[in-house]
Amino acid sequence: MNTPSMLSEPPSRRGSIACVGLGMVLGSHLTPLARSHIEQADVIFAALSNGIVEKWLERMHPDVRSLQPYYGKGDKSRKVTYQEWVDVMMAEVRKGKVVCGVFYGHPGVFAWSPHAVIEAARSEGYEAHMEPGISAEDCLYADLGIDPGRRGCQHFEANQLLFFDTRINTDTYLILWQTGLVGDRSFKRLRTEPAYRQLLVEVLNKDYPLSHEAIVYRGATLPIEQARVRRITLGELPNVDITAEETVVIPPLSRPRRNRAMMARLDALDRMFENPG
Amino acid sequence: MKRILSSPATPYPQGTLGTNDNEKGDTMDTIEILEAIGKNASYRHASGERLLGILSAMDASESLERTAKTGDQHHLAVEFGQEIVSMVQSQVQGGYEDQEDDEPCPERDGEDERTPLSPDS
Ligand SMILES: C[S@@+](CC[C@H](N)C(=O)[O-])C[C@H]1O[C@@H](n2cnc3c(N)ncnc32)[C@H](O)[C@@H]1O
Repeated sequence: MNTPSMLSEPPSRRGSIACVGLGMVLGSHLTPLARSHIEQADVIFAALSNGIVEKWLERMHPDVRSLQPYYGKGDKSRKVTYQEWVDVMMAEVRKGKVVCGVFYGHPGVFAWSPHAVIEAARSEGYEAHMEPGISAEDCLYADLGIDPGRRGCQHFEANQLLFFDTRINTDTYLILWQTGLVGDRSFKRLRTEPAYRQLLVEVLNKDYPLSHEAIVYRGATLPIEQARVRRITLGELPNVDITAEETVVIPPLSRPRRNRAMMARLDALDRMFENPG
Repeated sequence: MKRILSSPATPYPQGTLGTNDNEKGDTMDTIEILEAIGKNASYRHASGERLLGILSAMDASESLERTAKTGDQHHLAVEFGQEIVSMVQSQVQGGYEDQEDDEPCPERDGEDERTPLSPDS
């Protein structure tokens, strides 16, 4: 919109879509490139963390369409909703519009529709791409002082641990997303009761003692907030209220064991390459 | 919703107030105040009294000040309506339906069932 039309409109104008991240904190995380996508689009679709952030986005573009109304009120599967999101965005792309999907955090992190719409657009020959944003994961590393490279880091949707026999490596950090509604197979509920988290704890208790630490983390979304960090034990997890905006971190339990066989082979290689001839 | 800054000599660094559209000294509403704080290194992590002082100097609304005091975004519903607070929902639909329920998991076959750990093991 701010660019001369000669530059923004190719000769044969075709629809396109960019999915961009708004980051987590209002005013702090939006990248210049994501903002430019927003400003240059014909139409914006938005799935954001709260209505205040949505109001902020509305200041950047005159045609912001919230994807929020597609959610049901406990009576509609989110699978239906997320397909509808893809469909409404694709409908505008097919009309030849420059579409921008704006998602809180990183559009491709624990989010189905942005990946799906990009795949759909590309399969129909439209230009489509994703612009990364600062996700809850990034804020978590900063606020909790965790470097995922120090001990390794595994991320799972909490449901994966219940629905599948999932191997956990206790040497690493374990990050559980969407724990607040763990066990919901209807994809309709907003929260699940403590008994569902109890099942999650049972699964985790195969690898960790109940006395092991669990960190319940909520990163700020408004710049007048600070992160909320609750340190509890695994055994307490069922009985604390976990909101949709919280992520659970289980710190490492064990230390990695040295791979002696590989060390010996590295020694041999070092001898060969450090003292050739 | 528009509010006038209480004093023209507000203690803010040049160019930090307002949005792209507003110059220093313009009126700011709640969204503009939030944006100004979000992008300013000396405000973003101001805590307690200092943050309240900044908000008061910006002539922030009562609901924004209350939100800052309590950390409860629900106070902003007074200004923006009930629908505004936490719209976060699960956005992963798993791909779980792609899997056969009783598909064997080859690498786990023959492994002993793991048993729960005792509280202090
Ligand atoms: C559908 S995912 C979306 C994640 C988002 N795309 C991102 O980049 O962070 C929702 C999950 O993200 C995590 N989450 C969302 N907001 C959060 C916040 N403010 N602090 C910590 N975790 C958050 C929670 O685990 C929540 O269940």
